[in-house]
Amino acid sequence: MMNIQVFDVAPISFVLPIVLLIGLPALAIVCILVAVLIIKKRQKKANQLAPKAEPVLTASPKEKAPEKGEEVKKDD
Amino acid sequence: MQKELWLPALLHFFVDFFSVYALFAFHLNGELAAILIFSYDALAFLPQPLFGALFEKSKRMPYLGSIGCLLAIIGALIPEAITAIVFFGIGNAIFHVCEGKLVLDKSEKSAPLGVFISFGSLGLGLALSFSNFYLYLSLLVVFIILAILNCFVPYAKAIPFVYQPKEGQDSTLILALVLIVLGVFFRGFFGQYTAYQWPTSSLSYLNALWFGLAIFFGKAIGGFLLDAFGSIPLIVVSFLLSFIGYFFPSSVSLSLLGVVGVNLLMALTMEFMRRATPKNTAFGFGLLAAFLLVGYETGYALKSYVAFQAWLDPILMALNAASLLFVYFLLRKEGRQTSALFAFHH
Repeated sequence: MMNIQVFDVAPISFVLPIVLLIGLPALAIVCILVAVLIIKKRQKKANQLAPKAEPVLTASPKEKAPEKGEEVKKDD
Repeated sequence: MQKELWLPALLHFFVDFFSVYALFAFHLNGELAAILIFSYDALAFLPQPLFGALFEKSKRMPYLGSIGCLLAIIGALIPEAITAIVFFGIGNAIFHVCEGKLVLDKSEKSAPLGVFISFGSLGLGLALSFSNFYLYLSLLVVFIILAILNCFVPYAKAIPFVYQPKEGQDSTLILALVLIVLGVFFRGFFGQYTAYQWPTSSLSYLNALWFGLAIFFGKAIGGFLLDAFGSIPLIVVSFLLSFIGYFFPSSVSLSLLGVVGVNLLMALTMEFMRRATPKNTAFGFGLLAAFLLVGYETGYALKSYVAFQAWLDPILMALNAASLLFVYFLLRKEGRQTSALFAFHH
């Protein structure tokens, strides 16, 4: 950033304080807001494109895997 | 520090050097100079969050960084101030976010972050303190060569250590980010809002160079100190040095020590930022740059239009240290730490 102290800056008109105290912060806020909007939009798009989670399949009690030592009954 | 990461730092030196040197070569004076400087600063700093968000996901970051350099090179060759300022400003903004993101994402340690930022200050200090047309042209040739080289360095393959957030720790911590930005605003503010009472000796015409070197030194060693000692000792040392500088405004050496102290925190700020918002480092980098300028210009405005308030600086210095300490604990609570960053704690 340039150091304005090194310049021989003449007495400044009433325009510059307005630019400094209102214009620059306002411009910064606009840039930041647009940037945040871009990020949010990108996130939304990424979420839409992401594969939907498949339903978790839980085994019913009937189909429960045999525990250790348990005999497996076979259908005739 | 990996050797590939020196190139963005060198380019940063050239971008800042040419932007400032060429503008001074127009020999502008008075209100027009002030307006053009504000315009340049506004173009170079304020759109950085926007460019950061736009280029965040680009896989061609070095190319974009070189485009930023190209715009600065064109600006350096244009003999008309307003057009040159537009090229310098936009080129500077694109370069900073793209190469800044590259360094943030490709360095595991904090030292490269400080080194990258510090070289800009060196360029700025040199541009403000010497004038030689032949050296200008020679440096321009070197700048062009390095900007082209930047496109061909295989950063992805050449750099083995890449900063990666752990799973579940890649969301943005908004409170931490706000506090980091607040700290940067304070540092920008008291970077300008300080009443140095240096004796007007033969050294005075070199003040800009001394300042540039002190800022360079502080920023450059900040990352190495952070890697070696951790964040809390760094915050404490920076706070103490800033205070010493504040209480001895008439001493050149102690004031410069204060400047070094303030700038020690640059690498830490960037390290905190990439941990607070790991998926948006270009945006985060731009955010820091924008608020540094807003703080700086606010300090300038307050200094110009209201009587100097001597009590303000120490309070802001204390607030700056407090906000960074709070961020440290916030990041620790979220488990976003490394051994280097939290060396003191462990």
